[in-house]
Amino acid sequence: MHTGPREPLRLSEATGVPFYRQIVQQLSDQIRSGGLQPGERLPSVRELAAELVVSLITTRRAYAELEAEGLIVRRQGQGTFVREAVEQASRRQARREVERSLGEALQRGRHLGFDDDQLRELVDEILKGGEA
Amino acid sequence: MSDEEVIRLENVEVRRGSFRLRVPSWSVPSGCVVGVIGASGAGKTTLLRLLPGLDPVHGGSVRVFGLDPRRAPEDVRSALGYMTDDLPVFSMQLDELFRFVSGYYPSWDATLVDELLQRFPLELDKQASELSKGEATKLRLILAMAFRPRVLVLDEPATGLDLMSRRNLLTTVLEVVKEPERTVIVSSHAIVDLERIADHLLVLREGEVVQQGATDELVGEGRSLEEAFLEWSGERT
Repeated sequence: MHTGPREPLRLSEATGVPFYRQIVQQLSDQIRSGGLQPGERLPSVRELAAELVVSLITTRRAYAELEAEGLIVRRQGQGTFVREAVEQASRRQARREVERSLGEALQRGRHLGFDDDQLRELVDEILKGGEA
Repeated sequence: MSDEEVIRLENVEVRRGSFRLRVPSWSVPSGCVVGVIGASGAGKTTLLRLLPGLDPVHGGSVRVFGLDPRRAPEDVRSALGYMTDDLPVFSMQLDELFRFVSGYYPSWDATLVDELLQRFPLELDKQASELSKGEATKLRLILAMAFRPRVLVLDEPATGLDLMSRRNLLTTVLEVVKEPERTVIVSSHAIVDLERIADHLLVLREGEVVQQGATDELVGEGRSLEEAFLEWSGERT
């Protein structure tokens, strides 16, 4: 099992983003970037709480979300690990994110009076033009 | 958090002069951090003093580890560390004091005392009666923790501490609950610290429980504990 140094998490009170969400974001970024390797052991809920000086509720909630996203697995009596089949899971997650962003853009298009055909045309144009 | 319950209060009423504390129902599970918050005079200390059985109740029942702390104070206190503001004045050097107190507790952990002294430095050749307010707070904290009690009750533990020690205090509390069978109950009028570390909260106002429950459910997203607290305490509607 790979046990490389985990990048320390940094929580900010200034952003107004709840701590559990900051933990989810930073850990999932590290998992998806490969900074945390599949099979790598993560600190327990209680260890992470002491390390970050946050409540157990906070770390428990963060781990529950990461588990729901398929990025980590909790094995009874052994601990919490980065999921082995994480590539697939993170691909799924990435798809969900793109879906959400596109959905929002299309929704906005509709509000501004574009119909579906016009939106399709627009998307095709953007893809052809190579615009971001 | 295990589901085991370490503390249960039912229909508790305590009267002291014209002050009355009422707690309809309060239960503390093992393995978590519980915050008791309220302005000064809200009844935090009155409530916490019931746990080691220091005061009688005028109604209802208090159970700690399933025991009545007034009937079985020794059994309760051997597993409950209680840190309070009123420090008895010892005319003893600190290192002697630690030796003296350690004799009462088979579970006294001298290594832990050394670790805590690194975090909360004290001069061991000083007389306990000559400590500053902040130093006295550190001493009381170490004494309450050193026998590794299953339940640690800290009444306003940040009193007189400098910023660094306050931060260390939060870390220390969370390190205690790394062991899932241990519980910390901590009171404060300064709610910011508790919002960060407490899993459950009990909010008191003029002797009444105005809120209790899981911190994230009470506070909610986009609202800080401070805002919520102002609302509960009636200072903002």
